[in-house]
Amino acid sequence: MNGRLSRRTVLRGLGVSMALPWLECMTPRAAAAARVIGGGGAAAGAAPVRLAFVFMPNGVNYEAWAPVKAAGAFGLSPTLKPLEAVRSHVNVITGLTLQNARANGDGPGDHARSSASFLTGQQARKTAGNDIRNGVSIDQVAAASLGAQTRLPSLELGCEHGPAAGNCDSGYSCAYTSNISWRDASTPVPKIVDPALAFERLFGDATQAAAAAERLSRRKSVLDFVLAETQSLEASLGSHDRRKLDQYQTSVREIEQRIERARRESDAPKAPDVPAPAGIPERISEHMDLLFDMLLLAFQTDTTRVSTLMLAVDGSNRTFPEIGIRDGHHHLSHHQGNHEMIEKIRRIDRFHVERFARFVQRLAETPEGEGTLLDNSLVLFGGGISDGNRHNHEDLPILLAGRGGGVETGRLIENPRETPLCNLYLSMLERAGCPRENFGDSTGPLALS
Amino acid sequence: MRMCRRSLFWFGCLCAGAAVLLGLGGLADPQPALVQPRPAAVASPDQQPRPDQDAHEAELDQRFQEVIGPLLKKHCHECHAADGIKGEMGMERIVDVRSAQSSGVDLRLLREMLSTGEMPPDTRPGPTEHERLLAAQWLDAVIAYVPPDAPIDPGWMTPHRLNRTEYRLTLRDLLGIDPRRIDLSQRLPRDDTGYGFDNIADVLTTSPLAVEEYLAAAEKAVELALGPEVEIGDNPKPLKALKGDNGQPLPRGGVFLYSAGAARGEYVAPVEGQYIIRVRAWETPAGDERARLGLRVDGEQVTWFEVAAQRDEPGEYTVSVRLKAGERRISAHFLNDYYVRDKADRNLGIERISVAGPVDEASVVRPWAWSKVFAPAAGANGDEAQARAVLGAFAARAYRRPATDEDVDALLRVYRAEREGGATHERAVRTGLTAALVSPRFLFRTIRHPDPANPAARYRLDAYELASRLSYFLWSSMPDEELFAAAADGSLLTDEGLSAQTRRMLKDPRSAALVENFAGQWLQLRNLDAIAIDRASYPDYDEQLREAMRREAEFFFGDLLAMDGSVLALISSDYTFVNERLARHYGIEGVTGNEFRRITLDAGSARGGVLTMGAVLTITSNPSRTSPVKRGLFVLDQILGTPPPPPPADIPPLEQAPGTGPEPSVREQLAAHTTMPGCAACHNRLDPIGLSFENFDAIGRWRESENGRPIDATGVLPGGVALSGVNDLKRVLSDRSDQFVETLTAKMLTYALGRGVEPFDRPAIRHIAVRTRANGDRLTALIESIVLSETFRTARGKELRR
Repeated sequence: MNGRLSRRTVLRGLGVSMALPWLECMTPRAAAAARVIGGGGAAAGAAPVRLAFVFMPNGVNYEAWAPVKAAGAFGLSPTLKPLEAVRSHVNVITGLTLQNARANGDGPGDHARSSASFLTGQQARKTAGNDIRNGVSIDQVAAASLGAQTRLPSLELGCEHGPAAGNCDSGYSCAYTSNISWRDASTPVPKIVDPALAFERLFGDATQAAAAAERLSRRKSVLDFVLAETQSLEASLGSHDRRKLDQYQTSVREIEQRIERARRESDAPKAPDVPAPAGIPERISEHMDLLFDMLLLAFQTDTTRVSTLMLAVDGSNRTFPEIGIRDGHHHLSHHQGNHEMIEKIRRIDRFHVERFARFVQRLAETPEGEGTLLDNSLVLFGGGISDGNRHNHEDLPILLAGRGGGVETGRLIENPRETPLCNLYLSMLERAGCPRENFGDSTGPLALS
Repeated sequence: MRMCRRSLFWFGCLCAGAAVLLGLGGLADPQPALVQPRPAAVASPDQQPRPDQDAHEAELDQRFQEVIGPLLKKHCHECHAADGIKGEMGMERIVDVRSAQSSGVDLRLLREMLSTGEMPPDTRPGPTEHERLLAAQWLDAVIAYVPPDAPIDPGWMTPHRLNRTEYRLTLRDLLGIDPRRIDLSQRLPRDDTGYGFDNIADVLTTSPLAVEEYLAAAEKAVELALGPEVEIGDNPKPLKALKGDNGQPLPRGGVFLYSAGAARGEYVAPVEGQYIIRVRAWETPAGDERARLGLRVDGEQVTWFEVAAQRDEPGEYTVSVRLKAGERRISAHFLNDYYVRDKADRNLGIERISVAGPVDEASVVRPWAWSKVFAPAAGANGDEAQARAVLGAFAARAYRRPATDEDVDALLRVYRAEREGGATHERAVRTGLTAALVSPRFLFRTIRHPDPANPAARYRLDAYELASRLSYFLWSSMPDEELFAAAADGSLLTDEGLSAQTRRMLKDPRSAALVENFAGQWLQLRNLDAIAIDRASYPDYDEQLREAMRREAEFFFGDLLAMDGSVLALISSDYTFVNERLARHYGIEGVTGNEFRRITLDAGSARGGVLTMGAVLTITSNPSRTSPVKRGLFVLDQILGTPPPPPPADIPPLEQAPGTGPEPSVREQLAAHTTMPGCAACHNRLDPIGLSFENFDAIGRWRESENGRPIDATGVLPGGVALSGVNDLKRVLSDRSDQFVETLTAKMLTYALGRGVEPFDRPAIRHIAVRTRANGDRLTALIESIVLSETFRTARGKELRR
């Protein structure tokens, strides 16, 4: 009990007040991992790189988004104005395309395709459910390498569940609009919407900590049983059906490995001394900020190094009463040239950028080692549709915050038109110390310094 | 680059390509009856299907008439018709679905040419991108089209993970955990939906997060269901830290009561049962009585003792009491203090209070599941035999079929591992039960393939597989004992047995799940929670109203089920269900109180049927205004089963739209559609339907005007039928009852099977719909017809698609 208390004391306060040099506070495994990973970092030396992917739905009004060229940096367009305070930490990246969000013969469904391919770079198979097929997403690729070092391989968050009935988009299953993170081609990784559940997933339920060891060993034996049962059940099934159970088996294995690791470390998750969230706040801004805070805590405590956050599902028709927007987002995005609707869309875009800017600010205010958490993070912000009225998938609105792996910030990075968004992902993987030859429709990494 | 190469290829192979495109054209004359153009009236817009057609085919024929036919004629016939420049090519043979299928034209190639833009050649203006898309969609549908008289293909059944609802209700029936009190599915990740439902096996995936939550939920379920683990017997446990009123601590623990007072402690009784309380006490004598000790539980005296024992040899005073579960306050009171200054002083020493028990199993009040789970062990000799009996019986219920030796051995291995690790017998049994709850045999419904290597092989579901399919369809939960019995004696495999069980189960309160989950998703009632109605525009819209709207629809559907009503009432009825709040919303007088009742509507009322329920009208609106397009789409999709293709991306600005003024009115905006050929084809159908609802605002309130302008709810359907208000629309829809029953069949079959219906399901749908119509369109007849269908009772494998 004393041990827990002292750890909590060290972790007191969230963000600004929290001096958490990760090296001092880290569990031994993370320290060991950091030594291995070190190569990617520059000034920060051994600190691990964190990757986050923040998804914004329905495209933007691109005229108001498009960065203004300025010497050596970017000029702030009306929509990017909220980045003022953090502009030196952010890159605006233009010219990127998500080729596989285009119809390519599949007809309508740009919203489903944009969320489905945003992190996978793949053409999602058009189906309302009987044959779901997409690809592994970039965060899960990263989690496969970086995830072994932390208690959670990755963390998936979102501010909206998505429709509970009806169709999502033009014959595409809601699995495509509700998820951006995909563990394999047919398995989306669901997101956590309630900040309270996110907190619990990160730091566990403190009341259960006492019986933890006994419980872990019991769970281990139950999961061994489940694996054996799955194999025996599969013997009586056809190959299609087996695939369904393979999914279950893979997930069970992952949990089993996590339990194994927890048993070896016999170290309860360290809950920072911040009040646990009470549930989903009424105001959208608070909900978003709280999930961003959870993400920050996850990175800060090195509970995970990879995360995704969906600000809403693609095609979302939510209203924004707190900024006086009483029409649905998707409805407004198809403004057909109406000035009043365009103005509302710009306000929504700016609102999203504000939330992101606040997060970047907090990362920049969170000390880590000799620098800040932001120095060791790469946070992508954007969506798979450029202009929500046109549903086009080139010139995507993309921002990249943080200097993880030595990325230089405060710049406008212009690319030739039709540069694959996946090229950026290649660079991010490289900076995070888990390089890959190719991903999705990539043709080669982007230069980020 | 790619386009160039392909185009070159095309030009190089023009002749060969043309031959392929035409396929058999010119070789054999396909059935003349089918290629003859039908009289225009037969397939004219929005007509009833012919007797040998189903609604789907009629719809495709209609779309051909309106859009595809003219398009092909304009862009292809010049070269590819029989009298065309390229000679004998016969594209004119395509006049509807059947003729397209039998024309000999290679429809796949035709689709490819059109959708890739390779044809017509660049030398002439081709169709727009959207037109190409419409043509490709039509051709896809025709290629996949299966006529209603084709043989029935039952399709596959993918291993079906219990979704959140099914998980919750199964735990209720398996372990008696009331989901209204404790909902263990709450933390499970949301299930994704497909085809409008959240029980589609192919869409229900399992992530690591889900596994973790299943594990935690299983542990909690076992503890909740069985109650805490208790040690039975005389096992005294001293109360810790006795506190005294009017007393002082004794050196060896306990309290010395020198005046009227008490020693108090707390004991947590794990369960309700019989316990023994022992008090170790002594007196310091004075006066002519012994000290009296009153024993109280939660402040109520249960007995008293005369304490004759002295300090050098304390006495033990024992009482057997019934304790309720939970924290009990136990106190020993000094009842007869006696004190004469410097002469006499009677005092009471309480050294220890201990509680033992529960002393025997018979006295213990166990939760419902306890006896259910442990009863099978009665008579088993020894721990392991008992574990085997308990786990075997539990597995049979949890896995929804008799447990095999293999099942039980696997669970017993978990039990043994626990025992070897030092767990008690009961603890180890509980772990075994937990394991069963995360076994794929519990979490998934599967069917055994007799011939796994051959996906085409067809087989009947065995009695237990059928029992589960039935119970999850009607109850969203596991079979009960009676259904298991019908599976065990094989009666479920007969038509009569299956019908009897279906009828019985529909009368059971558990069939509320069908209302909540089928109707809730078909009518999209569940989206009420998510829909962001703008409170500033509609201050009346609150939680109570929303709840009342949902309840109305559920009552209506539940009533059809209970009263054997006709599904046509869903289109139009002279009654509905309201409470005071909803009646006020609808402008209906004379309804007071919160409870729902059936009311008869005035003649001419626009209410009645589902389409004019507040719930449906709200779900199909935008946050601050109505959406005739969404309402039209709802009717075409959910009622008629003929959703139009989605709009193209990049809709060009409507002519009057750009400007600085406020958003144009809904009707103004829609009017622009009819002037644009790309929009008109679909919006001519959508808009008049949607506009006929305009007398209802975005939360379903009746209105005569909007922004000071009178409401115009008129329109003309393709084919010339004029609509003036929603009752006209209901009449048109009632005239198309065949089509509606087929649509409802397809939706319900989707839900019953847990997979999307495919083109090969059309014969089955047709068959079920015809049977339902022959039985008075009763909702129960529809359900029974589904259950008795080949599709529900048989299955084949599925090809693995990479």
